Amino acid sequence: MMPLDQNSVLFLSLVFVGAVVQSLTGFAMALIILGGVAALGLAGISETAAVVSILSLFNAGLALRYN
Amino acid sequence: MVPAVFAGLLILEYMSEAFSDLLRISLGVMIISAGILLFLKPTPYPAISRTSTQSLIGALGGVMAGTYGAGGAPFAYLLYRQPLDFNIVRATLLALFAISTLTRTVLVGASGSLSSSVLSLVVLGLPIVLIATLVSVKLGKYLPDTLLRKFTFFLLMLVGAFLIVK
Repeated sequence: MMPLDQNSVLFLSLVFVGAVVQSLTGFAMALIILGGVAALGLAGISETAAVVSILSLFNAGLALRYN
Repeated sequence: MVPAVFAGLLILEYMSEAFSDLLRISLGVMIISAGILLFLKPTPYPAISRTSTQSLIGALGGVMAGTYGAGGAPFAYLLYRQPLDFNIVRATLLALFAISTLTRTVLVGASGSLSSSVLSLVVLGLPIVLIATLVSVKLGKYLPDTLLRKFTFFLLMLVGAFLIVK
């Protein structure tokens, strides 16, 4: 487990904003997280896309369950 | 859509080596298009779209899902214009997200690319997604829709423009 450095905090903030927007508008979570990460140069696109994909799957599952 | 996810992944693998600038710029273009999409008022079509149209949008969304894990915009564009009940549209959209991201994750996992750094970010991110989703579901009705759309639009424009000019 890596320590919670500045980049992780930025990443998690993007995840929060992305999940809120996705829950309220229906899409754009992956775009916000991936775009933010690429713009800030936090990580590579393919690695981030893999993370975002799993998080987005979780969000969709939750939203379907508690719809 | 499912075969298109595979195609998208191949595009990502190919482009991340040779054309990383192109990959970044096309992500920027996609983000700006999604922002504009938010502001178009969906006028429902008189009838359900033809199978060919649905397949085309499915393939486009699938490629985007494969490349970036982000196929939602084309699906949302088409689905919100169908003469269907809002709950059906919403549930279909969510199911499409679930299938495309699941397919992508399984394919990436099978290729052995789910590294420990990916998994640790997922573990950190999951509780945040959980909290954000539940908070939004509870508080969403108190937030004015236009304000939220304006905020999202501004955010997407900013990020998209930055990616293109960077």
